[in-house]
Amino acid sequence: MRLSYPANVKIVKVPCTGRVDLLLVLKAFEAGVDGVYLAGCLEGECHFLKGNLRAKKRVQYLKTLLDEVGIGGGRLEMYNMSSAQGLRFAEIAREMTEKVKGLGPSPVKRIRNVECGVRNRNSEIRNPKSAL
Amino acid sequence: MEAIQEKVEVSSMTQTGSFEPAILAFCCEH
Repeated sequence: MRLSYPANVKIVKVPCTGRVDLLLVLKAFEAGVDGVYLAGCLEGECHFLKGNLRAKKRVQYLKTLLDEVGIGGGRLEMYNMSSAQGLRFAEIAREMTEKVKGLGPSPVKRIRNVECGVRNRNSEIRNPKSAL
Repeated sequence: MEAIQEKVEVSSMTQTGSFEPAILAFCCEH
């Protein structure tokens, strides 16, 4: 069975979704991603017993945090599926892409672009030759 | 962390003007 999912979805394999901590997700947003999702095992079927449940709790907390800082909790999701559900994985990748498309580009990126623009302009003022 | 940095492709407006979001998926190996 050959399944395709959108090319804009980049996969980071982790031994368990319980390994994914808050900082890892926040760093991803800082790096410029527009959306993040965790694909963990079905509830009660975690290889490490409670990893997916821990991840679920973290995601719930992080969603409120992202809402508070203005990035938007909708850009982060947690899904549970088994390794046999390839079709569902592809479906979720498409679903998430459409959802984030609707939300638009990440505000983090916009802020960073504005800051870079200011920095470039300042360096041009200090060193006019660099502007040439 | 470096692995994430490598995987992240900053999204941009394509030539047609449509927005292609960059999405990162943390997937359990099991």
